[in-house]
Amino acid sequence: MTERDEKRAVVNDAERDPGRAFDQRMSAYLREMRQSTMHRRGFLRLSAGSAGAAALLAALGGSAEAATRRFAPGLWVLQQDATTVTYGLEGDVRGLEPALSYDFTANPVVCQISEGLLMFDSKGALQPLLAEKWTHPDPLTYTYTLRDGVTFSDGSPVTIDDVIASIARVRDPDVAGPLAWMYDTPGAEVSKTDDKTITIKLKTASALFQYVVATTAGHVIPQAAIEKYGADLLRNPIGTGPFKFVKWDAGSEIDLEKNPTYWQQGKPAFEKMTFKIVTEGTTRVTGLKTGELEMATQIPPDQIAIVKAFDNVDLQIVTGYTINGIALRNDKPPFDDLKVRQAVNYAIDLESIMTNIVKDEGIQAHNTTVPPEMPGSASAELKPIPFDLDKAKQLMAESSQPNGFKTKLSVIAPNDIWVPQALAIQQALKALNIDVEIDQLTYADMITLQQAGDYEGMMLFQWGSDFPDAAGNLIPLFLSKNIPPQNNHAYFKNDQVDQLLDQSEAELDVEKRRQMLIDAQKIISDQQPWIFLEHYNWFMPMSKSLTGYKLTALWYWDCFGRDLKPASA
Amino acid sequence: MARLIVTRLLTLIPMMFLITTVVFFLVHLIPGDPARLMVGGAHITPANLENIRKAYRLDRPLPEQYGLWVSDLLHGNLGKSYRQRTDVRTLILDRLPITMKLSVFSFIISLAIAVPLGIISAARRNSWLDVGATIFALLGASSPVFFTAILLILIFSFRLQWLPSIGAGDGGWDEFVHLLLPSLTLGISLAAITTRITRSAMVEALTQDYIETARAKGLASRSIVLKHALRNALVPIVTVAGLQFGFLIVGAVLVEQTFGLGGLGSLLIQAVQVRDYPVVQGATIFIAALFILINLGVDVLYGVIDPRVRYGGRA
Repeated sequence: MTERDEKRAVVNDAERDPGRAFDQRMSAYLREMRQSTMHRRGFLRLSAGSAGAAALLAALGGSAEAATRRFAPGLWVLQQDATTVTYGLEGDVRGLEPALSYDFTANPVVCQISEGLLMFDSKGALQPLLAEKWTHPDPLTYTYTLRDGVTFSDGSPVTIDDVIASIARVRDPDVAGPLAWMYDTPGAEVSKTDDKTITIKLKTASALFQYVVATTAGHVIPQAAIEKYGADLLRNPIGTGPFKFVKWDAGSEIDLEKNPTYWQQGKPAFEKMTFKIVTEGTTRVTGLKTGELEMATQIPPDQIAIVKAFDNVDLQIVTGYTINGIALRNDKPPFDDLKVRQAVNYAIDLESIMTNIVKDEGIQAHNTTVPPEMPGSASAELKPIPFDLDKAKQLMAESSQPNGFKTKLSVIAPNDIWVPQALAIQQALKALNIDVEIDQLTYADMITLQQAGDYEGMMLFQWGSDFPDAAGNLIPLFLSKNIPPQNNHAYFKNDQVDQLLDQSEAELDVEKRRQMLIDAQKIISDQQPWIFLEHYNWFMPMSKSLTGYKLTALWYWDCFGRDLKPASA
Repeated sequence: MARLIVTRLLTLIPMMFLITTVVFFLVHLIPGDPARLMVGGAHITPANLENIRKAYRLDRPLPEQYGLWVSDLLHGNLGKSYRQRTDVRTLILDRLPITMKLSVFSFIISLAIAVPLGIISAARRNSWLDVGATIFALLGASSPVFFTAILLILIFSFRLQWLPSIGAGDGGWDEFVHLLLPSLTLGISLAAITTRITRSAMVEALTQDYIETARAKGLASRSIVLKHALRNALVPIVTVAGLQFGFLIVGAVLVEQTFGLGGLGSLLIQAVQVRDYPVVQGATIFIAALFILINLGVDVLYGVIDPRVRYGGRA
């Protein structure tokens, strides 16, 4: 019997007769106390007294081993039930229905409870899930065929009407959910083809639409639950996932338990999942060390090294489908001049910024917004702009601004990486006689500024795609029709890029489409609309007591609970 | 006594009106578009944005929003959270128990530390114990709550692994163990000032003539300190401790945040971060009302302990 089985047996034993287990612990504890008084008179003196109190604490704390090792009592107070996975969230969830799940706190919970028509594998490729097959016969049409024999956790079968109702829920104007754009932007129309199949027709071609049903926007929930709960659905989630919802203690904890009718045989391996809401980063890190938490997200950057050194935790790292960079206002002087944009790029020592500021937090961008591991990236063919001050000065002299200028750099503060980067860039550009004023904004102010689009000069911001496809980091950021209030913050406009990106949306040939996206990246890199900085890494510390899940770049759509196993099993 | 309570309750009305007005306009002065923050900023269709503005009255002028909010408030309706889309009243009531438990527990701990420490300091003035208590009070009062919290977590959870630092546990004993560290954090901060007050009050009481008389009568020192001096020193202690109970609710905001306790405090902080106006307004007003009521309770208690207060009002 493994250690885990032993613990489970003890748990079961205690469940059958909690009183007896308690009595056993108490008598063992009292026996210990008697023994210790025999050779240590006055054991209630301060030191022994505290050990005794600690032993009492441990004895009452809920473990059968407690009474035998009383000098480190916390080990039992802190130890988790071996059949439960405990995950630390950095904030409370806004709700637990898929239509509202579009952030890093709700998604890890919701993705264990409900499932999409498709899913992403570890490389970001689409795989069947509730839909056993799907087709994309022309640029505007997608069909999905439902798998047989899948039931929700209440035992009712999944029907095609549930699928249609679930999609309608995501788009419902009364719900006003954050995922509605995924269907609304391409103008999707959903219809029932037969009892097993739906057809989705788009008004405008969208290659990225293929990924939508693998996100929470494609999760299937029972139509009956939508009708029954209405606005309260966010507190009563239900789906086909490996775990089912038990309770949500607002602000502190969310409990799930194994879905006994889960359609994938033999899964999940754990009986329960507990999500603890721990807003303070240091406390999450402490929880990992003590074993109170077995997984967690959003580790504070200055504590990554500490977590790495924990002997009971593996720190998984993967580069996200993200880009951190500075958009330059390509539509207005001084940055409407290509030479100025080039000069600025040559004047910045990106390598030094990486080593001194970014460190483990990300990898250097190769003059594109698409990270190397993201399908369709041109990173292999493009190179970061080297630091060359002479060339920068020469370009500046030839430009429309030979005497330098004053400009502004907007950045979200406080931030351990963005603000130092902004300061480094401010310093570097002094060599070109460019006087950069740094405008530090709160997150909310930055969103407002981006929406208004009236920033001056330069804006440092982060973008991440929801989909494993280069287009996700190109179309929103560089297509000319996506200028603010959309996300083309550089006001970039290039006819060739527009044409390539538009064509790529309707291209069914995967290889041809990939080439179009690579070509678009090459043109963009020549135009230098941004200062491309780095692609951020995701970190997931996972206790060594767990195995079976590997962090992916799209972890927030992952149902990790399906595959997690105890390491000793 | 009844008159005191009624007068104090009546002053509540203008005070609450002032608070609601200040809170509403202060909250709306914070820049940031809540509709946009509600959906996460990056992607949204204009129609979608419009739906949200309408649903949450964000499309109306500010004075109109204020009028509607106050009229809802008078009907006991605190509005709906933008982010969690649930009644603010439900959110507050859900989270109230843990904040109350934390406050009461911390309060008990602070008294358990402060009163004995203060008495000993006063009885053994200028001894090493007194100096120790002074240093404790100085450190406790100057260290911000969140710093004390992290320090205690590092010692008791991280290093020694004795006590849990996350969440409120599963009720009963588990909950007690989980609340120990957070309550100790708050308790230490509170105890600092109460220790000093207890000490001063006791020192003063111990130098009174009746103490001399008691000594002259040959009473045991213990009995003099605990029976005669303490009873007379109690009035300032209760006043300060009572006032502190009000501040406790505020301190709880930071402690809850640090220990992952889902109380009123963490609700408020998260709401501020995402511009969840109804929650910020609702929680602030709730806390303000609680603060006023607790102070009223302290005033009443003060009268119970010291009869001079009861009759002084009529003189």
